[in-house]
Amino acid sequence: MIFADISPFTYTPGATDWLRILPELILLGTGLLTLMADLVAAPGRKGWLALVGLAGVIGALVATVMLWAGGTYGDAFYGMVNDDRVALFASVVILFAVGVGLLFSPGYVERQGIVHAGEYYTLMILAALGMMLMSSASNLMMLFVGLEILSLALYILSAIVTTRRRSQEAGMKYFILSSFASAFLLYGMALTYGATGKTSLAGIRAFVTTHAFTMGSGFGPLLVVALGLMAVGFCFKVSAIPFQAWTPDVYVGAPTSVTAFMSVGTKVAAFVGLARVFLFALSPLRPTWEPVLWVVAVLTMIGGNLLAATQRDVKRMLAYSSVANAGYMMVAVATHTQASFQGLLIYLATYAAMNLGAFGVVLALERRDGQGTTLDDFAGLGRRNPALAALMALFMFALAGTPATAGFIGKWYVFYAAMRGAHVELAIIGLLASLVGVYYYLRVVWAIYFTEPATAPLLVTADESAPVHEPIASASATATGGVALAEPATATGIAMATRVLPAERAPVHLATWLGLALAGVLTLVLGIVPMLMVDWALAAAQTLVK
Amino acid sequence: MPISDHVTAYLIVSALLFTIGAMGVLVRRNPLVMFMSIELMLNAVNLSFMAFAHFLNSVDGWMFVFLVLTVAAAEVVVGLAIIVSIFRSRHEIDVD
Repeated sequence: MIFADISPFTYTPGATDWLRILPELILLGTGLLTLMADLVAAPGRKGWLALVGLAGVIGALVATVMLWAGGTYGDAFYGMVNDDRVALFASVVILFAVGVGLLFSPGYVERQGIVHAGEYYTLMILAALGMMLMSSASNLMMLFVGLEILSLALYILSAIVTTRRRSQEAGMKYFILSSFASAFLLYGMALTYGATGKTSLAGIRAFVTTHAFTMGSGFGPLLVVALGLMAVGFCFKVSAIPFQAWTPDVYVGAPTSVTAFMSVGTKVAAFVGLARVFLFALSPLRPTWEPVLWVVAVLTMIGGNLLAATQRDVKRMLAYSSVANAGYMMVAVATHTQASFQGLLIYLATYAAMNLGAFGVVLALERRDGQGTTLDDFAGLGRRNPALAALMALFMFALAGTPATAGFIGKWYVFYAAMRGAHVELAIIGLLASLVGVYYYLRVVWAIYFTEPATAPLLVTADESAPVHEPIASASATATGGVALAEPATATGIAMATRVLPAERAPVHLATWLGLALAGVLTLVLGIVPMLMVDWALAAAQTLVK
Repeated sequence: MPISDHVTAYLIVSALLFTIGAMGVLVRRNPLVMFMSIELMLNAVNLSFMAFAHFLNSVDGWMFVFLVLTVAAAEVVVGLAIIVSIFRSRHEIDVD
């Protein structure tokens, strides 16, 4: 909102304003509540804080659905945020991501010995709050503030395993590089403001629609530089090549429950923000920015898939796979039609289900020292833990884009939109790149079902040989034909207590199972009966891309 | 939107500061110095905002500056906490 001349001005938010951000308010309250509840929770028994968080997430979800059903979409707080269908659609995906992330957390937080469990849950919820604010922003200010809320929370979450160096380094790397990118984005926003005199997205759109864009027009050069700077900032945030360098290190170093949540949540927030700025506010300047995003999309699809194919660590492979997926989403932004924005929203929703699930299985297998996520550790999982193996196979097939899973639906709509938007070449490049994806996703399935664990039994370190694991270890060693132990039955008690198969870890936490089941069910449901979601995404796309 | 020539001087200084900051992040290897460089970049942006706000006679730029300052302060808290936490466990800081 621009003031032609600066005059006394008051704005009092009314009840409608507060109602429009009800989901965010519920999340904020929940975040503060978990912080308080942490004070009364007994040390070592902080798992129930996740329940408090989950209750808030479900509350926010109900509020979001009510706002969607209510159908009175509009601006709030003087055009700072709005609750249009795009924001509500993104909110549902983000809330699903944080809900599953919270379900994954209790078992993992306990196993990794994260001492700041209370802050951990609070920060998860606050990061989700930032994501929701960013995706519902209708002003550059709100976009920036939302982005920073989510980033600040995620910096701390990445570094929260104080005993593991990799986690701390991930936190610092993420912090430095992400603030660096934020500065670029912010500079772009400043120049956009300078060129158009507006910070509201609708105002910017109105300006660039009514003013002919030429390089000699005074604001033209400013706007071109602004476009470039904002593209750099957003590409970094969505981890698109050539700004992907931080992604693998941060995703691998951060606690896996955080990685699962942020790989989905930040993508949703950043892509919706990107779409709001480029597809809505600056859409009249399409000829200027489209070639740039085209190149980024191609590079990211090809590079992400090729880099992922060379990884032997599944967690790292999934990190590169999230780069490759950013490429497919970028296709949707670069083609710039209503169908492609619908495709982007569908892709985000389907990606949330399958990616959360895949990271969830990795999390269930990860050992206390952060190891145990390589392909060798997946070998023979099909016999050791059939349920976990089946889920991993499902998520891998989904990520590879097999029909009847969520992944196929997402890819279908994105590539279909690319063809509709006269970018057949993007669809072809994407299909070829995802063929590489089939190789490395199915390699995990191959490892699970068709290979034997190659390593000899390990003498585990003291912290892993908790007595609780002993019965499982011995039972499993006997069941699998004693691959590990020559004579499990005659081994002494002490030997039994200190020897386990490399794959025997703490039993999977009940909440983790619940989260995995949720992700698995959604991966199948979105793949088999996607029509409801497709309609919602179309309704959302119609509000933004006209 | 007419942008007078006077604003150009401010924009040039701002661009210079931003470039110095960006070079600092790319060239230096000490997280504290990199961090200071990022702050320099943010303040360069603030200068741009203030110059635009003044010459456009609009309040939005000033408001944006307040938000950026607040965010920068929050970043200082989080960033220094992470750096201190690493320093405690390693007694040296280096991004490599």
